[in-house]
Amino acid sequence: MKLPKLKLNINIKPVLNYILIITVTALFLAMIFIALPLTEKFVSKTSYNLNTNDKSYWSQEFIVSTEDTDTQSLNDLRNIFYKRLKGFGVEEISTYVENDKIRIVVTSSKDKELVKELISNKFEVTIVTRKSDVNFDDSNNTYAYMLDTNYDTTEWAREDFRNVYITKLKTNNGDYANFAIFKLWPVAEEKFNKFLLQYNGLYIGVDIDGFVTPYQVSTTSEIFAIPISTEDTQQLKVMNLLYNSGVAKTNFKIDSQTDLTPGVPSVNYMQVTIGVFAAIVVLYVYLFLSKSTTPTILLKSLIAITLTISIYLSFLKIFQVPVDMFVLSIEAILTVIIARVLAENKDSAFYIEVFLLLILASLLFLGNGFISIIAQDMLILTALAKFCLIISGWYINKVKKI
Amino acid sequence: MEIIINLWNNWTVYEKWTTLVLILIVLLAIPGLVWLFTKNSKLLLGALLSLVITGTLVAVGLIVLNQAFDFAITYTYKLVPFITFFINILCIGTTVGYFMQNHRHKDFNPILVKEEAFKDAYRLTLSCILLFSGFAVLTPSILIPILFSLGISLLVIWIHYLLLKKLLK
Repeated sequence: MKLPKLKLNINIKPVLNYILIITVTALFLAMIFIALPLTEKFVSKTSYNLNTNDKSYWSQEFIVSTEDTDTQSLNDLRNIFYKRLKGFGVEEISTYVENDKIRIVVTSSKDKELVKELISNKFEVTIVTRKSDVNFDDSNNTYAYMLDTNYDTTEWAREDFRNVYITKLKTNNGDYANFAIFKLWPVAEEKFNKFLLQYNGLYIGVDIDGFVTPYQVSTTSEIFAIPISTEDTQQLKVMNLLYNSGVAKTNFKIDSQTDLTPGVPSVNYMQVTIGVFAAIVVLYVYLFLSKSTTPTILLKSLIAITLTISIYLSFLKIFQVPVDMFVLSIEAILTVIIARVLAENKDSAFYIEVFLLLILASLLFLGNGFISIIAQDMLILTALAKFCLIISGWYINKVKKI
Repeated sequence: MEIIINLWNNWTVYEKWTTLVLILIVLLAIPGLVWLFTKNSKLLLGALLSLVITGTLVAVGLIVLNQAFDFAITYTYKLVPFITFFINILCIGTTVGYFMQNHRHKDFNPILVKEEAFKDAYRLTLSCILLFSGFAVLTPSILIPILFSLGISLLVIWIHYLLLKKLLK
């Protein structure tokens, strides 16, 4: 017996479209809800509050005195301090030479102790060899291997190495640990290998500011690397900067360290949100009434702006990325402007993006303090605005078809 | 002059070099790209002049603010060149885009670029005034740098338009 054929004449495409639109709308709304201020007051399960830096800022003045007080030495040292602090992401750095001393004023939200490490350490690196008359196996002096007085200096120092690269390497136990790999200048490679050959199988050391890390020479090893005793990423960053921000020629010490009031502008999240929101509403009402832009472009750019800011804020909130409120406010304004310009001038989008990419990338690498931070964020926000413009165009088309 | 000497002395050699490279990128690379895209010397000159004028306006403005009105130029004023150059680049980008889109059309007329530049300048002015004032009014801590950035940005937008008007005769 044949069963009757059941013929269903359902067009599945519009149904799927409905589901897609509903899902995307729900996602949009979720993003907007997370991004809104005070969401954390209504959601108890997850913390959706913005992790602002505003209260973690501190400011200090360091007075550094040096052995050599000639202008060249002082300026060279200022350069090193500046590179170290900038590399660590210290927000504001000012260095001056006053009365043959270096005055450094730092305003930052970074760890105070780590910042101090960057200023207080000379980090003079030299390769040393063991003195023949010292007993390194003496049980009464277990720290003999660490003291630089037990070693002879060699002609090899930090300047002979191109850079020091910190990375994880496999240890003899098969575990992974952090090592500082000393990379030689190509011209010095042969000479250094000859030097190592003299001590094959023996211990030499790397002396850093008077403390020696032993290194057993093995001619089979292709790299010259010493272990680093920390796993903390911030500490590793500090080590990297100390190794690679230049060689301090003169001895120095911190004479004084004074707390200052950080002058970081305070911005109220609620007030700024209201201000920017009111400005956007007035702008769009005016543009709509004046008919200077088509309603489709207005709607597209409005959705894109809302989405861009919401996605960005949601990301910051969910991943608890620390932010500066005044920087965020400026970024929000510039994002609105860029999204409007990109929506309004479709034919110019490519050129604007190329110009901005060039300038923002240059500022990211060559700028300092808050400007580097804003440049980095604006690169992300410009790309996000572009993406959201595409998404909003697609969304409007889909909704129109329904 | 004192403010410039102080600034110069307080910069490290590294800062001086990076600033010089940044200025060169702004003044050479952007006009260079304009030339590369458009092959139009008038647009190149327009971009170069508007960038130079922006830099000059910012520098002179900061000196006047410090000397005449006795405002302490703190690091929040670093926002001023950033915002004004950002706005200027948007102006240059829109002009180049419109030119590239239309210059091969048979009935292309440079007047069209001027008209489009006017529309863009007008819309950008409106956006800047509303957004920056909305923000500045509610954040007194950076009111002056923001209002100053707004003022210079508006000048830059219209100077860019006037330059185009003059050059694309």
